[in-house]
Amino acid sequence: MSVASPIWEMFLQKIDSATLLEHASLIYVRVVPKDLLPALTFLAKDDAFQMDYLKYMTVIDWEDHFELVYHLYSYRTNLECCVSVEIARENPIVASCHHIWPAANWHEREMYDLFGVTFSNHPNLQRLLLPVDWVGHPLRKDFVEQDHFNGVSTTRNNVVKLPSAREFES
Amino acid sequence: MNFETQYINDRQMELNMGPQHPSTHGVLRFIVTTDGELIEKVVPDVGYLHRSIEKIGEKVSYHGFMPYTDRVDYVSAMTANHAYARSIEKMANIEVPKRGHYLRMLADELCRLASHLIAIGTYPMDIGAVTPFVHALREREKINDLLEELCGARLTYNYMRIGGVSFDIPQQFVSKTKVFLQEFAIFLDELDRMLSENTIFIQRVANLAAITTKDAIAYGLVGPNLRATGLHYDLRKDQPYACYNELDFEVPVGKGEQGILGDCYDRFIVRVEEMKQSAKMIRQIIDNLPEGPIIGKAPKTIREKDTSSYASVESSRGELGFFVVANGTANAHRVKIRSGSFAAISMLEKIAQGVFIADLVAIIASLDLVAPEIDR
Repeated sequence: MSVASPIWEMFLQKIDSATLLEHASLIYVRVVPKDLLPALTFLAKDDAFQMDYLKYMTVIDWEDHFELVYHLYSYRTNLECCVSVEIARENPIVASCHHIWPAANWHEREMYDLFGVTFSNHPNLQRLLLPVDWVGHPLRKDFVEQDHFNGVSTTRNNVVKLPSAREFES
Repeated sequence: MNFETQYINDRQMELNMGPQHPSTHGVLRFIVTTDGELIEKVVPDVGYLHRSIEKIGEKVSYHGFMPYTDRVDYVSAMTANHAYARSIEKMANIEVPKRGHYLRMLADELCRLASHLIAIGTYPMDIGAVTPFVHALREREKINDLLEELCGARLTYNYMRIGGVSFDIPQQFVSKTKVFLQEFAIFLDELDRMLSENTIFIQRVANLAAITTKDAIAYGLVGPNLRATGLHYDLRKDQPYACYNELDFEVPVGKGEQGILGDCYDRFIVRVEEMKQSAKMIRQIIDNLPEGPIIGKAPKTIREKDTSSYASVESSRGELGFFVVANGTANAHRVKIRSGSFAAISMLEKIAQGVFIADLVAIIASLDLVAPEIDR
């Protein structure tokens, strides 16, 4: 299935701000933030697409902005695509899509935990993998780990002293 | 974050199960709200095995990340190797020779057997029958011996490389595998009599926590858990990778033989049937092993610009995929791991409502959760 096929033209007519790209035999649909939820809903509910399976969603930190990626697949029509949207890096807020795919619930919690992206209308937006009192979002490129966590140092000196070359030979 | 038992009112109680609990297959915690013996609500608390493998992927070179992929899912580490190697090969257009593909499939299928043996061995142990576990582990030990001969390690193999595999099969590996397959066929018969047709086991797990295909897809369930709901979908068949299109095998799906379609028994029997198919595949692979090189030409330093790729394989726990984004340097810009257990545990809250506490353990075991794959 390539970008030029009729059903993708139909998609472009519906969501006119979207652009289509093809990378390593995968179609990328780029949308603007205000069209994100309509585009996802259209892909999930339209009879020609029926994208019922959210493989994963993730964030890419491009230092000046975030890129949010939704990887979708349909068991019925065998179509596959990635929907991506650019969002601001400061105070990022995106609409939650857990009502379209319940799988998004945990993925969004993970993104909130590791990148600090806030999803509006999420039923339970809490840290998923890290402790609730952790400071910062570690998958951001500018993340600096805190020195101590609950009184325990997060760094450790290497106790193994490697022999110098001369000691090693003798 | 309270690990003490809470008395909510004179009827309800909030219990803490885990993180160190023998039935959670790793370090997993469940906050269970109970009403007597019944579960009203269960909230999984994950992250105890979080090592931020995705961040490590940004810090090391493409080749250097390969040993870390073993640790994503240490029960079937070869398939994680395979998924990552495929993703990079797709991105950098690296060809894998045919013998390399065959050795990869051989390692994958042996690993699938080893992983499913853990799954179906620990399942009855979690609900009170210890004997099958010992039998399953005996067979798994033989597979570990074979894999040790193949790559030198017993648990974290690091066998595959970008472009192929690291070692060719040693002498007598083929004959030893054939001996193993003969013994394994006897074990499978034994297993049917011991477990699959065991009335006590069937009554314990049939009709329990049935999942419909619609729910399974909506929650992103993959692999044997998805096929147990009756959906015929297997990446090896539907989007063939390596040389799976040259093998003759079937995709077992749940039939609801002993109860409702998609119940705990279906998830168990699908894995048993899958082991039979894997044994069949291993026989075909070692009979038709092509000659030639085992690894293709891959650059020492891979540098790709403005591209990304996603590739997945059918791991023992379903689709395991790596989404890799390149930025022109020798390291990846972002590595995202899509794992089957993550989807399975996110569904637990929905399916484990109104069951007995003892059944919760059976449900966790039937989903074949592996904690490091959830936390990554």
